[in-house]
Amino acid sequence: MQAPSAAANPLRHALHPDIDEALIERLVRHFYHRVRDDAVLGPVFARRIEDWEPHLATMMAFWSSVTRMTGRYKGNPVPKHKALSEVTPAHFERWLALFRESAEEVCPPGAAALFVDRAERIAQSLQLSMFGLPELRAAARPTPS
Amino acid sequence: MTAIPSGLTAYKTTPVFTEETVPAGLTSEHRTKAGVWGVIHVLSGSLRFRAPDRQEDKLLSPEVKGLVEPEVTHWVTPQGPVCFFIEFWR
Repeated sequence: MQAPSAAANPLRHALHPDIDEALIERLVRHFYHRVRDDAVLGPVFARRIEDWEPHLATMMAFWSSVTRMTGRYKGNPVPKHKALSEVTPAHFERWLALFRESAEEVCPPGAAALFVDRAERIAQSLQLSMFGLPELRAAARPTPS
Repeated sequence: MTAIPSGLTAYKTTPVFTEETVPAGLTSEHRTKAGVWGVIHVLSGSLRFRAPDRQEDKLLSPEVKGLVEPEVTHWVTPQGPVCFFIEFWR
């Protein structure tokens, strides 16, 4: 996987000083360990993922892009989620609850808050695309300038 | 105040772009197709969005999504490092 270093572009920096690649790896591994054990989410993932390491590597690249601006993730997350026909907003609620707990268990408080904030916004974006929820459509409105 | 009309669905999304991978077509003037709305989702960083015909010049961020009406001339400009994707509704 291409991994341009954050140093390649001096403007790129972690959004929080405690967030480095090692913390991202700990969080991703801890979170997906909990997901796999979860009665609601575990079966959704188990139906699609046999070899977890490539998925974990993708998720580390994703969170590296989002929280450290490294540009490592180049995928398209929306179609993969739209293909999950059995997934409902309740699955997202559970996903966010587990992610929030995982972040608080693994990360210093400031870094945990940042991960959770981004996770909530990303979950909102995915749900807008998947379910077209009216309240989420309203959230997509431009703010008055 | 505009919003995506009811009854439309998201039918296409771009990959996640950065300031280094954003296609030139998005950073120069272009128009959404007839009947197609665009939603710009910024995952990190910020993106300047301009649509002069709509008197819009605003900074998009994880807190502020961009909404592009059909057939509106617009373009985006990364403001330093950014990570975003675009979704199309019709």
